Amino acid sequence: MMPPSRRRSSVVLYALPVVLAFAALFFGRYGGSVSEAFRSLFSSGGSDLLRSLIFHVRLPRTLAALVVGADLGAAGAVLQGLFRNPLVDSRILGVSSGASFGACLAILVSGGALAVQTSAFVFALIAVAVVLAVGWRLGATPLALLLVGVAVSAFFDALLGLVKYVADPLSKLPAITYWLLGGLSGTQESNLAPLLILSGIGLAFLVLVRWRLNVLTLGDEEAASLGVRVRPLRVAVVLAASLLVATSVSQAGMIGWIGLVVPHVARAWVGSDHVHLIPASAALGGAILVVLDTIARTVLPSEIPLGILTGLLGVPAFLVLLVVYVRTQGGTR
Amino acid sequence: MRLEANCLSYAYPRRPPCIRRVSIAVEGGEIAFVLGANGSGKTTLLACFAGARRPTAGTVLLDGRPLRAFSPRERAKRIGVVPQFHDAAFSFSVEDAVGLGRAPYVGLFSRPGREDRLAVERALAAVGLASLRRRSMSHVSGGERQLAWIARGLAQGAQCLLLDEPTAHLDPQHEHTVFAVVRKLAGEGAAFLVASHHPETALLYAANVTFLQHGQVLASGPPLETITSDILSRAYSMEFRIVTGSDGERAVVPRIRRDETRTAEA
Repeated sequence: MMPPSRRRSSVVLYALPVVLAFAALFFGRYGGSVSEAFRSLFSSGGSDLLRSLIFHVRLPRTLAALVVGADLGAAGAVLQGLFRNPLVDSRILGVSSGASFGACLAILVSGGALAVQTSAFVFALIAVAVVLAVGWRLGATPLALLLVGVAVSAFFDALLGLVKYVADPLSKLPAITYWLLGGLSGTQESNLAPLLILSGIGLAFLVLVRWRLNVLTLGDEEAASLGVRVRPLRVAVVLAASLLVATSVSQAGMIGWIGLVVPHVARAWVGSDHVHLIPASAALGGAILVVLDTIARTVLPSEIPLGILTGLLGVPAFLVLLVVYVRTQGGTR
Repeated sequence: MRLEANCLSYAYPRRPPCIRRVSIAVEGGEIAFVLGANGSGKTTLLACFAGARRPTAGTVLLDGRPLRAFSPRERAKRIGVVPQFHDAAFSFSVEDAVGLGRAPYVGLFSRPGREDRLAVERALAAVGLASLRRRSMSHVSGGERQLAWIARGLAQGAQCLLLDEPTAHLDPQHEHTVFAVVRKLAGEGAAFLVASHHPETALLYAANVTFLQHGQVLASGPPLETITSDILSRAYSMEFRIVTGSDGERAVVPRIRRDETRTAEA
């Protein structure tokens, strides 16, 4: 239940990604000024090339940024709540490592964009399947899942190291390195559909169960005493969050920090209640990634990998947040 | 409303039983205490009552019906648990924390509705926290936090509340604030089963006391008959004296020789 002052600020929160995504359409290396892009879109005299560029290149890419950001933000918020740990991010379950290995393996073997994306997704699912299978036998407690996730992560990181080691240093290795740094330059209209559908499914599930997620932030015995069947619920939520992470990593590579920082900003904005936190994290994640991706594709003549940008901007943002948080809460607890 | 255990035993996997043939009952309107040393099985016993652990032998009956026959959701509408401490990674408002008690009533894909909000309001009013509803749980006192968890149990609709050392780290004033509320709620018909380390609190509030020792019942009955120097000494493996004041108030005093305490200070 939300006080009225919060309600007003939440209008701002949800308008933010929409406004920013719309604005992003007017920025790009081609066609120079924003006013030119504006003319091509809203008056008959503008350039047809620019208009088609906006609709067929910038629009899909901006949509992808919006969705990937939303995926990572929401997944991060869910996983932090699930593991009752504010330092958890979307990479915790080994899903990202699995996806990275899958993608790089595909680059090593063939290199087709679709093969890379599919392989990344498949190996992400393999990783989460292993985590859940072993974690279930250990009672599917947060600690068990966390430990198994770290182990599975390390295993796929080792496999990734192997792929890099045997990759041709002149052709394959740069491609692998570039992929791992993350970015949305591979986005096309044609590969947008799976991203939108899979993200839609994952986000819809999490938004629907979001009140229940509050119960999962209690300890297992406490949640059980409230009549909640903890293990199946936790597994379902882990699957949905993993779906989001797998989808976004296979689309955009490794993009760190969004899944860690965004939920904290969202929590400061709307509070810890998942009813508000999940949509807010998705909205903020989307908004931030749209901004970062616009910077990535416009500032320098060649693209800046998104993973680098999120790190360069995400880390200082995180430190500032940490200081503010400690000052207002009066401790690092 | 009657919650009872008959000849209950529980053993953790591959361990000797830590509860052995315990029988204990609590009725609506009554506050029952379970006392005993650390590791005597109090918490495990409460977990069996909460349905969190399945007894290895014996049964838990709720109004004469085996607890196992209730679905988790139906059980949660009748029995509430107040945790000893609660390490929240992220903190909810008092109102939202109490609202979690509506979990058995809210569908998997839905959110609390009008009726749930009313139940939360009633629960908050019943424990006297209505004015703190929007306060963060990390910004209320320990006693208020315990009251909030009791309110969560009331929001659950629970007629029986299990309290695991509810006042273990509260100062005397807050301890008695919490128990004053507990006594008021018991007067309105709720049943309380309290695991505690404080025989003196039991003397003040309990209708019934059960002492556990090594998982077995050492003594049970009204507090004046069970909280005696003899039973206390056996339960805690040290000497106690019961001192009666001029108004009939009783205090439990550990018997420690002066030179022993001085050694402890040195």
